[in-house]
Amino acid sequence: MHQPFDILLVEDNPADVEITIEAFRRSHKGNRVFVCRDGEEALDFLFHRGKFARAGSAPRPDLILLDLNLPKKNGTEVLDLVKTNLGMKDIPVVVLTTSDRDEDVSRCYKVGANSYLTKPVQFDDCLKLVEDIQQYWLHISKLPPKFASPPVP
Amino acid sequence: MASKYNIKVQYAAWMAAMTLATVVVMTAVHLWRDAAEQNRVAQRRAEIAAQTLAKAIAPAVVTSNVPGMAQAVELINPDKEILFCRILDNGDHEIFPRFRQEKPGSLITVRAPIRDGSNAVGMVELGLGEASVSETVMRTVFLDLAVGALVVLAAIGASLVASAPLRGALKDLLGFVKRVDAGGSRGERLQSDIAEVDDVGKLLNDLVQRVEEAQSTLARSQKQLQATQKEMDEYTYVISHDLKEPLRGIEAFSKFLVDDYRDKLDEEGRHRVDVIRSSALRMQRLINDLLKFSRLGQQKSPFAPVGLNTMLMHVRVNLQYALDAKKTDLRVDKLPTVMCDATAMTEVFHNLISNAIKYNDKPRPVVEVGGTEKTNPETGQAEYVIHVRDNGLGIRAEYFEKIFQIFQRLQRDDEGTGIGLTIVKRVVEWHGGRVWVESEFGQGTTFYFTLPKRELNEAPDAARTTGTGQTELASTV
Repeated sequence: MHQPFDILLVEDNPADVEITIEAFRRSHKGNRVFVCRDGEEALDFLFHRGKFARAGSAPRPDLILLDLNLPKKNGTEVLDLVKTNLGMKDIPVVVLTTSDRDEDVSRCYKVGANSYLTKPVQFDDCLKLVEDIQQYWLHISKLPPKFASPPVP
Repeated sequence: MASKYNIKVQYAAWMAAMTLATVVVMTAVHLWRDAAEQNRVAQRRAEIAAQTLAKAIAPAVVTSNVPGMAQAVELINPDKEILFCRILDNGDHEIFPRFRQEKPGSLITVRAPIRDGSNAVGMVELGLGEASVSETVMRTVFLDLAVGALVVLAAIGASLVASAPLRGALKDLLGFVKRVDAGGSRGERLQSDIAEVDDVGKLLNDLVQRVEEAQSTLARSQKQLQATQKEMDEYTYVISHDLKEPLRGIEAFSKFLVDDYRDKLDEEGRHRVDVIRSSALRMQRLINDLLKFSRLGQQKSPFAPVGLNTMLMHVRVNLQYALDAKKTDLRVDKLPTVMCDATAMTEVFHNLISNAIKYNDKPRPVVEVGGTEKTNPETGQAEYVIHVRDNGLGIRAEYFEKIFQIFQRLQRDDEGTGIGLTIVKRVVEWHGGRVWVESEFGQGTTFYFTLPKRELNEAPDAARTTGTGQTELASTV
């Protein structure tokens, strides 16, 4: 049995959070999902600031699932900050959003997104997507070694 | 152009002709008047000479003294002006030989009686030459012609000078009209010193102003319309996405309800949750169609040559399941290669043919696709008229317009949302064509649409081109 992976879900819509968590639960992979409700909170989590300042409260995630439409700092800003940070840029970021606009897609990839996925409406499709994400990013893909480089605040 | 009326040449020619005619007439009048005068003077002189000679010669005639007669004649003619002279007695016999035997017709001849007291004893006849008369008259003619030539030259000059402002004004007018024609007056207004041209200029200025106002209004409206259209599409897109968000919640949580509380729900409760879920699914389809529709307005790629027969092959593959399920015979005639957006045009055929398959109650459903080239009666342009014909349910005439409206359906079914024909209409109109339907209820329906015949040229940024110069279809197989 492999060590569980840590996934950071950045999502403001409570229903979507619950749906995604439920999908992770039903996928029975045993990975840990941390949830941040806005861009600011996500950055606090990643840089161990604010309520995540206490050591061990915010592990460095193996994968970030990022919504674009977020209060305070939006998803693209979070993505940009992660991808320009020397200690963070090696964390795979999967954009998971409702928008399928060409502008959004290309802007995210330009800023450094590792994948761009749109949220399906039906739960069965959500479940499939969550299973596929874990399968591809956490099992098929070789991830950078954990704690290889400490975050640079 | 040479045969056209040229003001410069025509004015000069007319002026020259008229002055020349005047000169000729004046010369003729002068000639006639001078000649008459000269003749009158000569006549008078001849009469005086004849009377003088008659008086001088009378004694010699009475005495029949011929040498005396000769002397008298010699005396009267020192200048040899008298070219002809006869002395006659009462019986008209010559009693003194004439100077010259001949009597030219051009001579002025006069007679005077020779008297002895009160008795006429004879007659003197004198002839004077006209040479002196002609000479004077010729001088008049030469003078008249010389003056006339000067007058003609002056007239030509005057005509050029006089027509110069008019010619200038017309040139300005032409220049103005050319500039307006080439790209608007840019506020320039035409003015002229020639009253008539100025009147034309005023009218032209008004006209140009009105046309320019109309053009700018039109351009503004078009821009506004495009902006509104874009806004609408944008709006539809955003709204559709926002609507999807709560839908995901409804769908997922009704599923959780069924999954996690199955034991606690009875048959009725499960049915109600199922209705929630199927309603959510239907709403999802509506929203997806709305998204597809708004995207048509947003993603307009340049047209590229597409062979419609190749396109129809892809459409057939996509619809194979439906065709087999309803045992439908899809017959496709020879179709042209047209300039279009391949993805959008595929959608048109897909929608029309899938409707034709779906709304058919015949045991042997048949769908025919064909096209002909025609001339648009209104524009005179060549266009393709494409048809999709079925032997299906048919549509009542009262619905011919309504079916193209968004979310309008004639039948309740689980799959359709009523956006297919709206998309067909929008795509066809975007390509500059028209769409209409002919149908007999119960017999079948034919959808027609037109595509203007365009020159088949590759857009520089057309995606996915093959060696044959045809855009490969974005296949959804």
